[in-house]
Amino acid sequence: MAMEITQVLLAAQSPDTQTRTLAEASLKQFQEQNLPQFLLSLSSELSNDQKPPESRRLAGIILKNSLDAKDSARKEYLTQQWVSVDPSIKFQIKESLLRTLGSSVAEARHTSSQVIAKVASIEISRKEWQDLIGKLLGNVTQTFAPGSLKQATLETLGYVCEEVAPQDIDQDQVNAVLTAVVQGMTSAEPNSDVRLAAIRALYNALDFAQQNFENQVERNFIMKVVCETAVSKESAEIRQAAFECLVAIASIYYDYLEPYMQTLFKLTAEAVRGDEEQVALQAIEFWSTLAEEEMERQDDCVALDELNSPVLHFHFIDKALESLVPMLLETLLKQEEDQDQDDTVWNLSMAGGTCLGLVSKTVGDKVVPLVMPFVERNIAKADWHSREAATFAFGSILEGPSVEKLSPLARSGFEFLLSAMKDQNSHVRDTTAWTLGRVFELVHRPTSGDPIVNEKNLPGIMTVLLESIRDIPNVAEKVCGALYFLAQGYEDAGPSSKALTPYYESIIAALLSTADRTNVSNVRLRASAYETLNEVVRCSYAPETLNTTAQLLQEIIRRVAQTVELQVVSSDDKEKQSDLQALLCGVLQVIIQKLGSSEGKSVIIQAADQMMMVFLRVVACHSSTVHEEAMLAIGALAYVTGADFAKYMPEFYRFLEMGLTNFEEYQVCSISVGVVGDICRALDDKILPYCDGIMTILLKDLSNAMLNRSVKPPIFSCFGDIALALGEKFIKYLPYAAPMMQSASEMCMHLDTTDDDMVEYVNQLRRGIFEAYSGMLQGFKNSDPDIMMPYARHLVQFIEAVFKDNSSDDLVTKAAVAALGDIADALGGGIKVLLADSSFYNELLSECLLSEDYTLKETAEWAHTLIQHALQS
Amino acid sequence: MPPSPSPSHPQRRTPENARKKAYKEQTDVTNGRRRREAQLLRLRKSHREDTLSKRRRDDTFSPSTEPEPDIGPARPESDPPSSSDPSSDADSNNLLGIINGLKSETFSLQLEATIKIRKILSVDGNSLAGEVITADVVARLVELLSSKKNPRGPQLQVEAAWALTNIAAGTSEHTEVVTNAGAVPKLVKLLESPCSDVREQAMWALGNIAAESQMCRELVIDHGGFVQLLSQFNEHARVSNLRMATWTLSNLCFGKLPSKSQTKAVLQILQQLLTSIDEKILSDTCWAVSYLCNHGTDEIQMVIESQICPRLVKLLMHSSPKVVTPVILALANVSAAADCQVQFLIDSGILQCLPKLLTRNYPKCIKNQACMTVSNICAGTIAQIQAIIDAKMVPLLIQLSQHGETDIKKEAIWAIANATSGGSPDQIRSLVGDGCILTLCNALVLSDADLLYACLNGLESILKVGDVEKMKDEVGTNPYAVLMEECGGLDKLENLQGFNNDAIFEKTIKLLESYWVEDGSESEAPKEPSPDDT
Repeated sequence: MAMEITQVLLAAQSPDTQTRTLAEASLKQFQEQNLPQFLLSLSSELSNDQKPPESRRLAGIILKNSLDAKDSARKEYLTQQWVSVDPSIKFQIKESLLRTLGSSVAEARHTSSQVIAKVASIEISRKEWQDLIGKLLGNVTQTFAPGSLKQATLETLGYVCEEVAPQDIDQDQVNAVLTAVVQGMTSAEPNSDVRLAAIRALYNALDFAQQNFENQVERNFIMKVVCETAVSKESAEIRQAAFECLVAIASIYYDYLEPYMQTLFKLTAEAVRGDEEQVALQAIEFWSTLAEEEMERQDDCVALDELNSPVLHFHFIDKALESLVPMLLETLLKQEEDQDQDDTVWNLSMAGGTCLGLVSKTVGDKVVPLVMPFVERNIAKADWHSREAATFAFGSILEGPSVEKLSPLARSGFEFLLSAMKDQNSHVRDTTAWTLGRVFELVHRPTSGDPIVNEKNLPGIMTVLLESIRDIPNVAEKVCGALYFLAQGYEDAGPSSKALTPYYESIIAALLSTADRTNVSNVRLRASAYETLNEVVRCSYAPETLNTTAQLLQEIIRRVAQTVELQVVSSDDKEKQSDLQALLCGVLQVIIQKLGSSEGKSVIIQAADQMMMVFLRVVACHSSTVHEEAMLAIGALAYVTGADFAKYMPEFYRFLEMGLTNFEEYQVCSISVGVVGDICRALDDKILPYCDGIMTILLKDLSNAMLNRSVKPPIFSCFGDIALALGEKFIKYLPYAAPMMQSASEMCMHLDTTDDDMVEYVNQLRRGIFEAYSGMLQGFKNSDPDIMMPYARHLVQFIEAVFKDNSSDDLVTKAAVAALGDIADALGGGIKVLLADSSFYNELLSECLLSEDYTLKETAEWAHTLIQHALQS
Repeated sequence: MPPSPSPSHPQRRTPENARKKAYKEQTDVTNGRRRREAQLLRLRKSHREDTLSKRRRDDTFSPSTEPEPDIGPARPESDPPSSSDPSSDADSNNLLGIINGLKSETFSLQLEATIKIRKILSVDGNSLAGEVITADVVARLVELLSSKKNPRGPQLQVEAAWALTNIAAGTSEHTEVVTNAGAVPKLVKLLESPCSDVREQAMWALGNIAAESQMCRELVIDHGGFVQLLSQFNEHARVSNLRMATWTLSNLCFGKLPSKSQTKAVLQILQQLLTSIDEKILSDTCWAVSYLCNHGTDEIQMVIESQICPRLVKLLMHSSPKVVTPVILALANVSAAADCQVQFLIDSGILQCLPKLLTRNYPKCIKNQACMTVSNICAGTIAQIQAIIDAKMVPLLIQLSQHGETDIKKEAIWAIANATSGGSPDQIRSLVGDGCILTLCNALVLSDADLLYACLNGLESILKVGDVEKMKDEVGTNPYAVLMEECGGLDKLENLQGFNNDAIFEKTIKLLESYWVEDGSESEAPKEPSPDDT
C-alpha cells in the first residue's frame, strides 16, 4: 500500500529552514526504514493527477535519484538496491510510471519518462522488463491515441535508447522503434509536439541503427525524412533537432555519407545564411563535426598501414573547401557587441570561427589562399566588425598549415598586429591579443635561423604586451595567454632561451599586479595571470634568473600567508580564498622544481621551513583543490630537502592522513598516495614511525568500493616504495599487503577485453602490482630474501598469466620482466625451484630482446643475465 | 535529501559546451594543475626507477667488468643472450637437419635454421659450437646476409649477423673463419639497411671483428666500414643504435687509423658524442678518445685541436667510473706529451679535479692514472710545477707516498722526484718545507732503478739549493744535507753503493763525494732513527 506523503514533499520545499529540515529528515527516515514502500509511495504521488505539481515534481526527482547517480560506486549500490526490491512492488511502480505517460500534466509525463528510462537502464541489461518497448510502441501505434501520450511515449523511447546499450535490444525491436519514430516525424503526423519528440527520439536511437544504415533502402528513407524535417516550415526547434541528427549521423555514419553530401551542403549553406540562429549554429556544427571526424581518420590512416587501411576517408572538407570557407568567413562578420565579455554568449561568428579553425587543421596549407584575401580586404576598414573578423580569420588558420607557409604572412602582419593592440574597439584588441598568442605558440620558432620574434622587435613587443596587460579584463586575459606562449617558446631553446631574461622582472611584476586587480569581474584573469607566471618561471633561463625567482618565492610565501588572514564570512569568500590559495601553491610548486633542480637548491632549503608552515596552514583550511595543490608542492619539496623532511613529519602526518582517507575527493587521495612515495624516497627508513598508520589506511583504501578505482594502482606502487624504504622492517606489513596483491592479480585475469577503459585500468593495476613485488624483493634482498619465497611462486604465475594475455602493453611487460629479474636477483639459486616447470620465461625474454623499445630490451638483458647466473649457481 | 534540479532537457550530445571551450582557446587553470601533476608524476617515476635500479645494480652480482685498456679493445659486455635452452633444441642428430635447413632455398627453413644456430652459439661452452663453426656453414650464413625480397628478410639478416657476431667473438681462428668467408663487405653493406635492428647487429659483428687485430680493423676500413659507420651518427638514430655505433667506432680507433683525415672525422663525431647524457655512449666515446691518445703526439695534438679537453676534464667528475676510467687514461696520455700540450690540460682546470680523484673512493686504476698524470705534469716546466704547488697538491702527494697502495705510492714518489728535479730554487725550498726530503730518502730502498735514479736526481737538486743556503749560514753547513742525515737518508744512500746498476752507483758516489766528502766511502755507525722514519 502506498503511503500518503504529499504534505511532507511540499514541506521539504518550504522556504522556512526548520520546516524543510524536519521534512527532509522524515523522508530520509521513511526511505531507510522501508525502501520498497517509500519508492511505491513516490511513484503513486507522481502518477496521481489530483496531486499538486510541486509534490509530484519532487517525488519524481527523488525517485530518479534513488535509481541513478553520477558516481559509479553509488550507482552500483542503487542498482543493487532496486534489484532486491520485491518484484510485485516493482511491477506496481513500473505500471504507475507507464500510466503517467498519459497524464494531462506535461511536467508529470516528462518526469515519468525520465524515471522509466532509469529503470530500463537497470532492468533491460538483466533481461527484465522485456515488454517495455512493446508497451511503449502500443501507445504510439494506437490510431486514436491523444497527441500528449504519443509525445510522452516518443520522448520515453528516446531516453530509453540513451540509457540502454545497443546489444541489449533485439534488431526486431530496433526496427519497430525506428519505424514508429520515423513515422512520427513525417508530415503525416499533424501534431508538431509529436514531431519534435519523434525527431529528438531519433537522435538517441541513431546508435541502434547500424544495420538500418547498412541497408541502402532504409538508409535512403531515414536520410530523406531527416532532410525534409530540416527544412520543415513548422518551428525552428524542429529544424534544429533535425540538424542535430545530421550532426550525429556525420560522426556515427560517416562511411555512408557520400551520396548525400551535395544535398547536405545545400541544406547547411541555406541554414547558415538564412535560417534562425539556433538552426544555423547546428548547420555549422555539422561541418565542425565532419572536420573532426576527418582529422581522426587521417590519424588512423597514418597509424595503420596506408594502403590496406580499412578506414574510409572521403575528404569532404577538402572537396567543399572553396564554397565552405567563404560561407564561414561571412559568419565572422556577424559579431554582437561585447560578446567577448559575456561567457554565456554563443553565436554565429564564434561558431563560424571555431569551425574555420577545425577546417584549417584538417586541410592545412590549402585554406590559406582562400582566407588571406578576406583578411587583407577587411583588416583596415572603418567598421570594427570588419577589422575584428579579419583578425579572427587570420588567427583561426594558424594551426594546420605549415610553418613555412605561415611564417612570411605572420612576419609581414606582425607590426600591424602590434599596432592593433591600441585599436579603439576592445573586441578587436581582444582578438588581436589572442592572435598574437597563436603566432607565438604556433608560428614563432625561437631556435630557427630567422625567428619572428628577434632581438630587434622584442623590445617593442614587450612594451606593447606589458602595456596591454592593463587593458580591460578579457583583453588582459588574452595578453596573459600571449605571454604564456611567448615564454614557453624559450623552454630549452639553447642560447636563445636567454632572450626574455632582461624582461623577467618586469613580466613578473606585471603579472603579479594583474593578479591583484580588484575590479575583476572576469574570474579567470587572476588564474590566467598566475598560470602565466608559472610558465614564465618554468621556462626562464635559470642561471640568470635565480635571484629574481628567489625574491618571487618570498613574495608568494607572503601572499599565501596573507590569504589565511583574509576575512571569510560567506561561502563565496571561502571559495575565493581557496581558489587563491590553490593558485599560489601551484606557483610555489613550480618554483620549488625550478630552483630545486639547479643552483638554487639552497634557496629552497633555506625557505623550506617557511613554506611548510604556510602549506600546513592552508591545508588546514579544508578545501580539496587547495589540498591537492599543496600536496603536489609538498611532494616536490620532499625531493629537494631529502632526509631533512623528517622534521616536518610530526606536524604534516595529520594532513597526510586526512588526504589518504579522503575517498570522496579521490584526486586528493591519489595525490596523497603519490606524496607517500615521495617521502619514502626522501626519508628512507626514517618513515618507519608513520608506517603503521599509513599502511592501515592504504589497505583500507584498497578494499573501499566507494574509492575511485584509479587510485588503486598507485597504492600498490606505493607499497613498493614503502618496502624499498624500510628494507627488512617491512616484514610486519608483508602478511597484509601480499594477499591484497594476490587477489588483485587474480582479478586482472578475468578481464573484459572489449572495454578499452577496463583494459587500460587493468594494465595500470598490473604495473602497480609488479612494482610492489619489485620493491619488496629488492627491499628484502640484502637481509632476508627467503621470506619472499612463498610470494615469489605466486608472482611467477602472475607473470606467466600476464605474458599469455595479449592485452598487456609494453610498460606492463617491462614491469613484468623487471620483477622476474628481481626474483633472480633476490632469491638467487632459489629461483631454480620456481622456474623448474616453466619455460615461458625464455619466450618472454627472447620476445623482449627483439623489442624496438630499448629500455625494454635493456631490462630483458639484465633479467636474462641474472636468471642465467642464478640457474647456474 | 539532495533534490538536485532536474534538467528540463535530457543530457544531449549538444556540442555547444565543448565548442565554446575551443573558441579562442587558451590555457586554463585545471589544465595547469593536471600538467603540474603530470610533471611530478614523471619526476616520481624516474626517482622510483632510480631507487630500484640502484638496488638492482648493487653488490650481489655485477655482470660487467671494466675492460683493461692494455689488453685490446673491449668485446661486448655480454654475448647476445640466448632465448632458450639449446640442449633441448639441438643435438648432434638434428644438427644435420639444421644445416640442411640452412642450405635450403625455402625462406622459412633458412630462418628457422639460422635461429637455431644462433642459439647454439649463444651459450658459452656449447659442445655443438665447434661443429657449427665450419667453413661452409659460415659461408652460408654470410650468403644469407644478402637481402632477399621477403618481408621477413630483415629478421633473417639479423639472425645471420647475430650468429656471425657470436662466432667472431670467439677465438682468433673463429674470427678468421668469418673474415675469410667474406663477411666484412656484406656486413658493411648491411649498414645501409633501412631496418635499425639489422644495422645494429651488423655493427656488433663488425665491432667484434675489429676487436681481433690491426689487420681486421684495416679490413673493415678498406671495405668502407669506416665511412658507413660514421654515417650512423645522425639525428634519426635511436639510442641503442648510437650506443652500438659508438662501441664499434671505439674498437676501430684501437689501432692507428690509416690517415689523418680519418682521425679528424672521428674526432668531430666524438666531440658531439661527448655531450651525450647516456652513460654507455659517453663511456665508449671516452674509450675511443683514450685509444686515439695512445697513438702518438700527432694524434694527441689533433685531440687538443678538436677542443675536447675542457669537456674531458669536466667528465673527470662524472658519477660513473665507467666514464671516468677512459677519461683519465686519455688525459694521462696527453700529460705524457710535450709541455705545450700538457699546458692545455692545466688551462682546462685538470688540477682542480685530480685531488678529488686521489682523495675520494675511486677504483684503484683511476687513482693510479690520476697520480701518473700528476707526476707527468710535475715533469714539466717550472710554471707547471708551480701550478701543482699552487693547487696545494704537494702535501697530498707526500701523504700518498706514505700511505697509498703500492702502485699509487710509486707514482706519488715519481711526482715528487720530478718536481724536485725540475723545480726552481724557490720551489725546492717550498717542497722541502712540505717534507719532500723524507719522502725521497725513504724511497731509496726501492728496487725500481728508474725511480731510484729519479729520486737521486731530486735529492741532488735539493742538495744544490742547500749549498746556496750554506753560504747564508754562519756555521757553513748544508741544511738539507743535515736534514737527510737526520732522517736516515745518508745511511740509505750509502747502502746504494752496493746497488747493481752503473748509473745509480755513479750518481750515489757523486752525491756522497759532493756533500759528505769528509766521510769518504766509509759507512758510519747507524744513528738514532728520526721519529718520522718508518
